[in-house]
Amino acid sequence: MANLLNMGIKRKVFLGCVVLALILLISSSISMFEFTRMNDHVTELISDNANSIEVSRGLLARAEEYNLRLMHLVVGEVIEESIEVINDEEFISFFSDIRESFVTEHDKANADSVMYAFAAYMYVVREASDIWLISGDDIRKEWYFNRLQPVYTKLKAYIEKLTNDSQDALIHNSQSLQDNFYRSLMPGLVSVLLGFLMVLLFNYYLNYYLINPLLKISRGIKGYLSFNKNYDVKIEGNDELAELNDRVKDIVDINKSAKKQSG
Amino acid sequence: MNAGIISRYVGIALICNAFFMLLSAVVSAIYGLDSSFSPLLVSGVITFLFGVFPLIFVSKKNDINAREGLAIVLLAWFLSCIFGMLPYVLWGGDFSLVNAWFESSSGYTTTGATILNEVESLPHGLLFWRSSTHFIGGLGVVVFIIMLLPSVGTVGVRMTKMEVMDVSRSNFRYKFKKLINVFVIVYIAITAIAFMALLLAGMSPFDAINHAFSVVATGGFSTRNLSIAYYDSPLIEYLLVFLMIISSTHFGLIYASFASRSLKFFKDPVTKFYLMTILVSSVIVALSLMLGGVKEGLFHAMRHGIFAVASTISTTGFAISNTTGWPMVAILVILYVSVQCGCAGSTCGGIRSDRLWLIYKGVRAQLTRLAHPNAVVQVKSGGQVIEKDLVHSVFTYLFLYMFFAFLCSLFYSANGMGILESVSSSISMLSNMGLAFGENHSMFNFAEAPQISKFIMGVEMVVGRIGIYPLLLVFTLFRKSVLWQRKSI
Repeated sequence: MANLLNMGIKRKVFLGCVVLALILLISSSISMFEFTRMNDHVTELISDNANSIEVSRGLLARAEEYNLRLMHLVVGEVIEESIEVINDEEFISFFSDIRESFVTEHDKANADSVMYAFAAYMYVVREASDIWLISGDDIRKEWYFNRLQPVYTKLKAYIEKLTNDSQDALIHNSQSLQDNFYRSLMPGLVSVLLGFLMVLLFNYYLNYYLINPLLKISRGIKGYLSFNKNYDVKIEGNDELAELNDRVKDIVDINKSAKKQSG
Repeated sequence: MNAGIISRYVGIALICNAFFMLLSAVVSAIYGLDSSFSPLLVSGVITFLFGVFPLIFVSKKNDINAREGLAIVLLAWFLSCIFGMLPYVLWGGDFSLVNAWFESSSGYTTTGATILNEVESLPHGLLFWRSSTHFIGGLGVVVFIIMLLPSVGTVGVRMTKMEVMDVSRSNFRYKFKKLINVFVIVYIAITAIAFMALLLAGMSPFDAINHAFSVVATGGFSTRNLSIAYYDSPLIEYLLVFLMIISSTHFGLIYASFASRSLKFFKDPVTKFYLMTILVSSVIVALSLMLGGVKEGLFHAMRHGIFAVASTISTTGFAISNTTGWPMVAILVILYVSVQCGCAGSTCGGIRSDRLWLIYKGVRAQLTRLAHPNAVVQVKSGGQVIEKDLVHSVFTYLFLYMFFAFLCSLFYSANGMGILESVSSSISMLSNMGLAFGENHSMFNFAEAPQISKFIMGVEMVVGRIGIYPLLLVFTLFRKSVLWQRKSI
């Protein structure tokens, strides 16, 4: 600490700049770190919610399309002797991957409900080809309204619930994002404010401890030269400025003696 | 007033804070570089840079005037609280700016109130930092500055007078420099004894060091959500009762008793008054708990009564039971002891027993004067004559304390807090105690308090720690300075 006090001006200014640069570096690093973290968080969150909604919507559209097709066959005028069962493996593998991305137990339970409802729906749907092959129009209608329609309604309800929950989660997440945004701004803001405070301090120290003494010396010399005033400037510390002041005093004393001798 | 010299000494205080931040970062590293490591490291570096910056430019000066001394004390406290927020703000979690201000002020002023719902979810580094703020605040930010000074000149004398109040020093006489050494030695000795005792009583080393920091500073931060109730151990509770009482008596007196191997400690009238208050209050609280049907059996009621009284009067704020549903008699007794508090020359806040003792003496002398108008009646304590000015200043202090507490409780009420909550919170914050009643009961935290109230509570804690007189003195001195400048214009 004693060394700090006996530093020269050059070293003092250099160290001051180093401290200032370090504070600014830390401030900007904190701001960038918080911004990147927030950016990653937002991207991940939105991507998860969007995926979930997309899957639910795709599943619903597919089930609806198939159901309409069946209904059209049951009540329509076109009579087909056989029907092609939809391939559910593609959906199940896709949905299983998505399920893994759910974080909360509530979302996972919802996804499980959809899977079970879909499995039940597919179990009934697989009966369609046999019904079409062996039964008449009335039995097909009875099968459709009493067997297929209830499981379809259940599946639809679960999918809608999953979609609604995903949308609610999106709303909730966007609200918490607003809070987090405020939270992530704070560290950056605080560190930048501290940097700003440091700049003000630096300015004060430069003025008070380096520029003011120079101005004092300058005024003292001017007073001596213009009005023959005594040079009695006092400079605190023991740096180059104090040394300069002592030298000026010496020169003024020499000058005074020379004037006396010549006068 | 020389702003440079003020910034220099405040800078030294910040360097002390930076040291403890970096120490907390080391603790974080020991516990597997938990999530608080980088916030603590960055905060430590920032605080250190701020502290060292004035030292580059401002040279040493041993003589400072009263105004500069006052500014150093106030700024050191406020800036310590502000820079102490950094680890919390950078870590995140529940710490918004206001919450971080509350937690930081609560730590440095050794109040011990918290905004955290889940203390145990904090990383080890941050928990250690919370307790460290108690340790720094208990010893007094300014004592740290004085310890670092190469020579103790008028700077130290002026600042210590504001930091260590000495109303009653009848049983020992130490010079200023010795007094500071005594304060530091006793403080560290109590910390070491507390750590060892709590460790042997069954706490983990981490919990023991944190609670040792907390108890020596009469703070109240715990590493557990349930505070001391978590341990459910009568041994730990009675140990803490002893440590809390010791930490709230005059450190100089403790040292003098040990140094002279005498019973000075028990001969001091203020200490006797303080210990008697604890005994009587504990008995009343225990009886009211037992008769009110809150605690069954005298031993059980006494255990809770003595802990609540010791925790409150020492302004520590540890809790072993929920005060909701306690009889009003018990609550009023605890409210009284939270106003009286411990002895001067210790780490506790509040009005302090010394002042109340002088008030009691002053009232008795006044009654004697009324009964015998021609008698010459002097106020005496421990054989020493107390100056009239001192007695008057104590009465003024009591009035100011009550008035300030009233203003703050009015403010909290206006912001939606109930009457019991407002009054008890206001007294609690001003006394640096940390416990309150009603919805803000002993097992509660201040997370749900209105934002503006939390901010004001933080300010109230700092005012309570610094003292009302120094704060008013600042306004008086600065007002005079402004008036003088206006006249000179």
